[in-house]
Formats: sequence, C-alpha cells, structure tokens
Amino acid sequence: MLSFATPAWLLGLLLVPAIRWLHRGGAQLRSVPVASLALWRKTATAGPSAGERRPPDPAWRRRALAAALLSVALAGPRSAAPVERITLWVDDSLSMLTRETDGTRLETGLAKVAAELDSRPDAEVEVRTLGNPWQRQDGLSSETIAALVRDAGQREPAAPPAGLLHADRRHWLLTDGADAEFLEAAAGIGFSRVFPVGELTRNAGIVRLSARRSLGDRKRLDLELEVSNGGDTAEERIAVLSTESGEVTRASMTLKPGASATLSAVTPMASAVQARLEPGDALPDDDTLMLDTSPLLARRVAADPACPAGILAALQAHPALSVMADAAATDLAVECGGTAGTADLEGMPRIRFLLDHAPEPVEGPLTWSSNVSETQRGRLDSLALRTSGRLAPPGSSDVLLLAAGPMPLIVQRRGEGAPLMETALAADSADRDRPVAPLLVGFLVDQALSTALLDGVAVAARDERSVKVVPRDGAAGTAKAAGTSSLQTRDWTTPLLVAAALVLLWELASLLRRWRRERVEAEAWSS
Amino acid sequence: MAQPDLNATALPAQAELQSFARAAAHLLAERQVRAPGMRVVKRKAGVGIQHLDHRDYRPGDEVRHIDWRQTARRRRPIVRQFESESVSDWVVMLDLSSSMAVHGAAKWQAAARGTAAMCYALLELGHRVGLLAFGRGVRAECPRGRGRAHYAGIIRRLGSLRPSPTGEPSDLGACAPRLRGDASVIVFSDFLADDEMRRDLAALLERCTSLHALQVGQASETALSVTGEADLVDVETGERLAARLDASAVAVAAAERAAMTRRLRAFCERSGIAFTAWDVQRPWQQTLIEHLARARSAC
Repeated sequence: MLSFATPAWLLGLLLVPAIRWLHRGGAQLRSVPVASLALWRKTATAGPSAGERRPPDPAWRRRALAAALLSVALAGPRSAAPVERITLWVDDSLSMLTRETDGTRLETGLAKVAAELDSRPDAEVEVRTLGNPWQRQDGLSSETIAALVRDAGQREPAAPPAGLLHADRRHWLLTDGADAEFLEAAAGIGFSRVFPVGELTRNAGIVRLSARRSLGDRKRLDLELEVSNGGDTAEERIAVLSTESGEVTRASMTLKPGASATLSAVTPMASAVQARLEPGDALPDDDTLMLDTSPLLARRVAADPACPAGILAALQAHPALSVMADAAATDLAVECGGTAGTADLEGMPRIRFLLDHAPEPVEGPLTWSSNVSETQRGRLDSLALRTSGRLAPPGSSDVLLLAAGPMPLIVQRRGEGAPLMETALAADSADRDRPVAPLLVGFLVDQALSTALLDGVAVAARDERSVKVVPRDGAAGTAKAAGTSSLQTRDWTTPLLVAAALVLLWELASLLRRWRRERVEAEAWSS
Repeated sequence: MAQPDLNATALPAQAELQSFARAAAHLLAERQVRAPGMRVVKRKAGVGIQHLDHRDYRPGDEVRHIDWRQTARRRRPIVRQFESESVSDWVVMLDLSSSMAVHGAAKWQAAARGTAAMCYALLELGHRVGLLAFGRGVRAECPRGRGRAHYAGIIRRLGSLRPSPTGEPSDLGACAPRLRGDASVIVFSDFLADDEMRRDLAALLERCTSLHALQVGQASETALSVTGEADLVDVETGERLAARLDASAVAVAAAERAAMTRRLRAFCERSGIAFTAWDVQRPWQQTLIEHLARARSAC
C-alpha cells in the first residue's frame, strides 16, 4: 500500500509529457558542415521519410526520469507492508527454573515459542524479560535462549512498563503463572498470546536466613531461618544449618501449603553460615542459602595505654571490638597522647582523644553535623559532656561533626590516609550514674569505621514469591484476541532523491561531454 | 559555423608571378591552345581591327562603325564588320560558392592564387584578360583588358571577393551569357555539384574557343574529425543528412569524391576540355605549369 505525505508534488509528473513534447524536434545531433552532401549520401543512416517527424532526442527519457523521480520523492512516498512484529515477554523468575520432565520450565517454554516462531519466518521478534524489561534482544536465537537461561532466577516478575507495550506490536508472554501478583498486574495488558508452562505443584524453599551477634556472648551468633512452602501440598523438610566448622543444627519441619516456618539457632562466631533443606525438590535453587557473616566478626582495636581507664574499659566492653596488644594487625587505633606504636598506626582509621587540660564543662549549645543521625545525637545530647583539650579548627577537607559554639568538639580529619577522628571531649563524666565513655567510644568507632557495629545484622533473603511454583491457568485467561497485524512503514523519499541525484549527475555528465565535443569540433572547424 | 579567415588570403608575390610568367610564356605563346578534339575555330566577326565584311545596321551598333559610303550606296544603314580579335581574349572564372569556403577556405585561397597567377601570365603576354566570379549567379565581373594597370584592377577586385560561408551554390552556367565574342576560358572550381557542372561546362564550351577546368580539391573534404551520429549540413543548399561518421563512412565519401573526379575527367576528355584535378596541398606553380603543358601537348 503506497501513500504520499504531500501528494500535491505529484503534479510535477505533468512535466514528463511536457519534456517529451519539448524534445519532439528530434535528436540534437552535431551539425557538421560539409562542402557537398553528394559525397555523403551513401553514409546516411536510416532516417524518417520526408514529411515524417524525426524521432525525439533520446535525452528526453533521462530528463523526464529526473523530473519524475524528483516529483515523486518530494511527494513523500511511503509504503506500508503488513508485517508481524512480536515482543516476547519472558518470565525469568526463579520458579521458571523448576525442573519438569523435559527440563526447566524456562527451557521448555522457550523451545515451544521457538517452534512457533519458526512457522513465522518473516516476523520481527524482540525478546524482553520481565525481570529486566529494558534490555532487548533481537530474535530468539540459541544464543538468546542460553543467555536467558543463564541469567534467570535473579528477580521476580513485574508487569511490563507501559512505555514498552507498543501498540504496533503483538505481545507474547511466556510464564508459568506461579506469581499471582504478576498475573493480576498483567491482566489488563492484554497479551495477544500466552505460553503457559509447568505442571509440578510441589516445592519448599528457604526464604530468609539472618544472623546477629548474641547479646550475651559476643563470640556467638543468633541465627534465624525461614522456610516457606510454595506448593499446593504439605511438605516435610529437614533444615540443616552449618558453618565452616561443621553442622550447627538440624531440625525437621512440616509445612502446610503456602505456610512458612522459622528455625532459630545459636552458633559460634563464624564467617559464613549455610542453610540447606533435605530432601531436595524440583526447584533446587531455593533449597540452599549462603549467608556471609564476616561483617559480624569483632573488629580488632589497638588501644593507647596512655588512655584513661574509662576509655580502655569502654573499648573492652564494646561487643564488636576486640582490644589487641599488637597494634600492627588491628582494624582501628585509639590514641590518647601516647607515642608507643604511632608509626605503625599510619594507614588505619584512628581515634584521638585530646587530653591537654583538666576536664571542663562544655560551654555553649551543641551543634551537630548533618552527617550525624538523630539517634546518635540523642545519645550524646543527654550526657553531661566536658572537654579535656582544644581542637585545631577543621581544614577544608575535614568534617566538623560536633561543636559547642565556636569550639570544635569532634572533627573527622580526612587527609591522604585513613580517616582520623579527633575529639576534645573528656571520657570522664561529671555524672557518675551516666558515664560518657561507652557512648562516646561507640559513636567515634562507628564514625571511624563508617558502620553501625552494635546494630549489625547479616541477612540473606529471597522474595517469598520466588518459592511459589504452582502454575495457574489465570495466565492464559489474560490473553485477549489477537490484534490487528502491524504495518511496517517505509519511507521512499531518500532512495528516490538519491536516484534523482544520480540521474541529474548523469545528465550533467552528458551535457559536459557534449560541450567538450562541440568545442573540439568548433576548434577543428575554425582551424 | 565558424567563419573562414578569408582576409588571410595571400596572393602570389611579384617575384613568384614573374617566375611563373616566364615559365608559362612558351606554353601560352600560341593564341589557340586547345585540347584534343577541340573544334577548328573559323574566322568570326567581332571586335577587332581587321575589316571582315558589311552588314545591315542593327540597333545597338556603334555609330562609328557605320560605313557611310556603303550606306549611301545601298541607301540603308550599313556597318562595317571586323575580324574578331577575341581569340586572344581570356576569361578566368572563379568559383565563389560556399563549398569553396569550408575547412579553412583552403580551396578558395588556392583558387585565388591560381587566378592571380594566370591573369598575370596572360597579361604579360599581351592577352586581354577578364574575370568572372560566380556563385548563385555572376557575383563579380572584371571586363577584359590589357596591361599591368588592368592586372592591378583584377587584383583589387580579387581582394574584395569573399565566398559566403553558407547559402551560396555554384551556378557556372550563369557565366555563359557573359561571354561575348570568342575567348578562352579558365575555370577554377571544386565542381561539387550533382552533375559535376558538366552541363554548365558544355554550355560554356559552346561559347568559347577553348576551355580549361581546374578542379580545386582538398583531402579534408572527406576526412572529418568528427565521429558518431552527426547531422551533415550542405553549406551551399542547407540540406541536412543524418549520417554515422566513422572510418568506413569517410572511406565511402572519399571514394565518391574520386568517382566524381573520374566522371568529370572523362567528360572533359570527351569534350576537349583541358582538365586538371588540383589538390590544394600541391604548389600552384607546379600545378598550373603541368596543366598548361598537358593542354599544349594535347593540342
């Protein structure tokens, strides 16, 4: 189907008969004067008889072609050919990795779609996943299938963005329908075709594994494991928790369909904890979960012996700190004006207490930096703070965390090396019932290490929906009738303009050649 | 169409003319130089000194030629007739058609040189020489006369002549009525016509005592520098002919030109006309001397 953007330009086609008429006088042959035609009559070419019009100059075809091409090109011709443009939306959630009889659901479904696309060789296909819809892959090749299988299971499905649901494309969906939320969201989209996959309905998987330091014993971890039944049948599993030093605990669970169970345990401090369900099922990816607990390990601190007893006691009492005698193998150093081991402390975070004078009450209102949270501020605001030194004003790269009027109290020095926390606050409190040292040391340590050591919780979790594997027929129910065929529109303006330019160049070359020829003849004649 | 540079026509120098006149003197010594087969010229009445006869007066006769004694005796006007001296008269006819102007007007320049040389040589021998330039008709005429002053007049007239580049056909027959009395005629022309001007030559032959035809030719007449499809234009008639120019076409044209020359030569031999085909590349002295020698030996 051909259409034109500005059909008025087609009136230029009237130039074609006009050009033909203008060239009716015959070919523009070179005129060669001769002394007598009697010499040349035997060389005459077949020409029209007397009274007949000479044939038109063949150049009229070239000129008419250029005029016609220009006219049609300026009219903006566009052709629209029916072509099927398909966007295949692939559910790449964890449930699609459920092993069925012939492989995972994803592999089976992609094979089914590929077979369907083989019968439509002219279709333009793009593949997008529900987990990462903005990444597009052209065609459903074997490489594309391998990439989809490799990257699946990372995210749970979400409804495709409205901006990607182009109306000129057919939208196909490959899903097992295990995610009810997605089915509900996709109900209004109207996929033109849905490929449902999956038959198995039983699965139990680990949803969450968390760990935190035991409050009573800094050398132990409190573990919590959550297991969910994503199938439609009651399941019995044995949950096994283990560390690098061996199995910690083992417990049997009975899970009703859709229900979850929690297992708690205490284990010695370890750098990693693994949870495992026995026996395995059709979706093995959710039967194990690994938790990295290394952030919960105690940080080693090198304490200056010159520090007041209150500071040393606070360091030793901190649940996440371990005071070490060897300053070279520590994560943090605390200085109180002593010189021992100073050279070895370069390159690690440090805390420095200034003890220049006897403790004095803080004068003026406290001013906190916006970098300090309200919770941390509140802990120190309620104390009777005193100063035992005078800090140098913060430099351009330093951060003033706390000040009392013009006097800086806590400054984070940011030089070329590790951060240095300097404070003029005294660790001794005027109020014996409310000691300053533990809260001040805890605040400075968190600031120096840029972490909240006391609130540390290690968590490894996956979406609860990921363990649900029951295929739902509702996915097929969302499909609407196939839409109209898409039309692929092609603009022919540029190709026609290029063709017209080539014809004009041809005409210019012919005119130039003719001009040169006539000039040579004129020179020959005049000589 | 480019205009030929006719102003560049270089007439022979005085020394060349004198040299040529000396060489041609013995060839032109006898008054009646005729080609083989030429008819014997009888004594004819004409303009002369030697008294021949009397006849009745006709309007237009000069009064001084009236013989008053015979008039009184016969009681009607009687005029004296004299033996014609026109056998010592020469008329040089020069083709002024457009075909003489093509290809740089080389043919015209050669013909002009030949005309000047022949006039000089004949005048040196005491002959009366006249000039007729013809194209569509008689374009210029220089009456017969004698002496160097007359030669100067011929040269001036010759210098004022220019062949028209286009539209001027050859009509040699138009010169025949201008021949009064007996005279020898020399024609310089390319004789490019459908019948090679044979009919005109025959008409002239009836009115002159001897006829010389010098066909001025040029090799480039058929060796065109143009190839391919072309519209050939006859410079004399303006007639057009579509032709494909290539080596074979040039060969055909050259053959046709040679055939025309052969036909003209055969006609001249049959009619007693001294004929020479003159390629303008050849020197005019050599060509004219050879022509006169050939005509004299054939006489």
